[in-house]
Amino acid sequence: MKRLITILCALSFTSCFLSSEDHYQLDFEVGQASGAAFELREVEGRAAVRETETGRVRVWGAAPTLEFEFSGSSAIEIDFQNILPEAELTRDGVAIPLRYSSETRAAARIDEGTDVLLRLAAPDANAEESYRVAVLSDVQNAIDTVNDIFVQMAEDPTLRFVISTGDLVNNGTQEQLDRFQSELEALPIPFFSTVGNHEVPGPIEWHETFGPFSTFFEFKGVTYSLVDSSNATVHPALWDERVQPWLDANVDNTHIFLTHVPLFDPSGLRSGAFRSRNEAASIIARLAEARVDGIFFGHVHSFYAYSLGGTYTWISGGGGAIEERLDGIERHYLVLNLTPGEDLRDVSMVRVD
Amino acid sequence: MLRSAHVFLLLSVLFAGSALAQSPPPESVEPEIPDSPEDEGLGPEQNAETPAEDPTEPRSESTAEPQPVTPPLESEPASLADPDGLPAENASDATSLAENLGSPRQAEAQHAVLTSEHVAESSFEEVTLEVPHLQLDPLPPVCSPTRRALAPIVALTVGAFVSGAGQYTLCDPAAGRRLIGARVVSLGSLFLGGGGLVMTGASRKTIPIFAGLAIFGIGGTLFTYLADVYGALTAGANAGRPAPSSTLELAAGYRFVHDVRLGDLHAAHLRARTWFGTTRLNAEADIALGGDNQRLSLGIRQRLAGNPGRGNAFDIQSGLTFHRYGEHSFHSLVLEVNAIGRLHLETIGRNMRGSFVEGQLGLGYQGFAYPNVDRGLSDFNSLLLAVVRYGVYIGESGEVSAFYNHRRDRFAGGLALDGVAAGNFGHIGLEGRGFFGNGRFGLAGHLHYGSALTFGLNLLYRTQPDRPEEGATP
Repeated sequence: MKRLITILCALSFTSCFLSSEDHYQLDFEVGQASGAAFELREVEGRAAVRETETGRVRVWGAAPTLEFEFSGSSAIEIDFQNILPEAELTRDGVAIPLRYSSETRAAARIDEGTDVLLRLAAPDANAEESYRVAVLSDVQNAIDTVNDIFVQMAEDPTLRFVISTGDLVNNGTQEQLDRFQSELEALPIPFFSTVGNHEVPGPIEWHETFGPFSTFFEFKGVTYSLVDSSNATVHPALWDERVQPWLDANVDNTHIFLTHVPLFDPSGLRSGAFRSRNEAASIIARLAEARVDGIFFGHVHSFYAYSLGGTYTWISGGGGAIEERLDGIERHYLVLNLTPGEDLRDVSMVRVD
Repeated sequence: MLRSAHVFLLLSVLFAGSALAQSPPPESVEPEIPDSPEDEGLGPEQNAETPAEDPTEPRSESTAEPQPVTPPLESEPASLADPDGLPAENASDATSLAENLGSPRQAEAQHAVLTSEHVAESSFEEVTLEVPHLQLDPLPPVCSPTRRALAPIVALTVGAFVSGAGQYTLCDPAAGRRLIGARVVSLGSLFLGGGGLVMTGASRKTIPIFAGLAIFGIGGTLFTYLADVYGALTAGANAGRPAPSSTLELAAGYRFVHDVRLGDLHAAHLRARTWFGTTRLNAEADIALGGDNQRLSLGIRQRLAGNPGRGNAFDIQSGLTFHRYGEHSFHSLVLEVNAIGRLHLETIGRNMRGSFVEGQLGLGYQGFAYPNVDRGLSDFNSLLLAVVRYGVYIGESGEVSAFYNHRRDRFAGGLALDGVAAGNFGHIGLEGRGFFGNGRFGLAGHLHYGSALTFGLNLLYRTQPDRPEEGATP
């Protein structure tokens, strides 16, 4: 008994320093659903998967390419949302039809089977050629006007998807997250995001709605790390088990690293940044050693371009949240022109207002 | 009125004599000469000739020497001990006692005879008093036992909203007014700072002003609360006083850092401080035991104002710190300048004697190097340095304090807060130090809590105390 108390005390003591531990652990459970007659699991947890009614499953994609393991004794209907417009679905390598209801939403019937591999991907997902993506973060309480941004993005047909460092809503409630999803219907391309500090009060709701807090994927020869720093830190287990192996595996690829809270705020006096400068410096050192090509933050509601450890770095928090005044920068998003195997240099700011 | 003054002065002599009998003065401490009655924690209306109609006002105190009571008055009547060695009472109690003389219960009390042949003013006459010394009423005459018992409760509860409520309850409205004033200023600072942050969206161009105002607003609000609670609890009974400083002070000890991200650290801590006139030099090091982590710091501190022996001081400090995290492949270098002020709260109210508040505001500039990627010193980044500290003196040379430190570049980092507060705050901590025996050796310890927990314990050695303590962090 005494030993148990000691262990419990030690665990509670440690938890004081790991406030994000609970929602980090949830990433091991995301992306899967099971019903009376089926099991469906995204192999890397890159989706929110939920059975909405018997035999019907809703999938919200958190990456451009999704792979599922499916086993079922009867057919199910999958409603794919937040997917690339031209994505194709294959079953053990054989194409099966997708019924698109909008650019980013399609449904498919999956017949019964055991250990079936489903793959949803764009036809050019592995073609190493230049493409463009947008970066948008920190909408928060400006959700009533975010449609302006989506409409402007929709006018650029070269954008393949939008990536975000989070703070999509103000408090992370289910109602707000649902509202943001409904606003995304105006966007003809998918929107992939990690979590911001404004979503942390409701981590379960985020999981149910958008899927994982941290996501790692590759698209057309460019690798992405969307890493949860919503508590102004990166959980050490998240780093050791997921981030560092991903960095090590993609040293030679063009690699984009996104996280919500800046490692260092260019305005050190403000220091809207990681809660430990020593931890931030250790991460910068590791990103530099892994030859990451670009680092993107949100959290600060303005635009900055600088470098950390010699790595090009940008802050973009132009989604409409309370703006940093006196700098002439208002709502905006970034457009990245990416070429596999090359450094990231072509980043432009697109003003909305 | 004149009689009250006589009584007060005589009792001051008695109390000081008793205190000296119990607590010898520190060695070679420079005499402290206040510039004005206010420096003794007395308002202009509270000097030796103050009318005693309002017994709730702070009063002047006994001398440290059993000598004629001529200004300056030493502010530390360590204790009042009755001839039989019963528990001491504070000077306020003694004053009230004096004002109780002549009451009906006096006739029933045992008596002691006090005589003073030396009083400050020639107009004073030799007075013989009969003092009831065993049934001393520890309460001021207008402050009932009920009010005294209620004061801590009021300070803890009502004081959270109305600063100084405890002092009002404890019959010290002047101190209560000062705390209210401090609270109003603090809240004003907080709202101005917070409002400015919101209005400017934490603009990089205005952040030092508004963040500084917000930090000191929060600190001031907390300090007024703690000071009220402390004053209500102790009623001025703490005889602790600012320690004298020494020409040389050395420290050696152990530091433990519990950091779940960068790994736990066991380190040896070494420090040396020396004074040259009003200038203090400081050198310290933390060297990991078994790991590749070293922190070296050099500092210089110039005393600009105040008499540190009484706890009030204003300093300018600059420092240079090199920190090598070999196992994490980075080094950092910090250059900083700070203004530091400390105020003995006896200045605000007699009941708060033995406590202090300290504020620090400064700027730092930090650069990093990442040796594994062969880039020189880079990533230069400024630091807003702000500390608010509340503490209590213990005995002749000790103190404990609690603080908030806004910096996040040290071992402790910043507080692990979620939501909108994430990443916006520094760390908190407890620190304490004290000397024992012959006053040459002592102990200092700290506990800092942020994204990491640090604990340290050091053995102190100092040369004979010869000048006021600087009031620095242990």
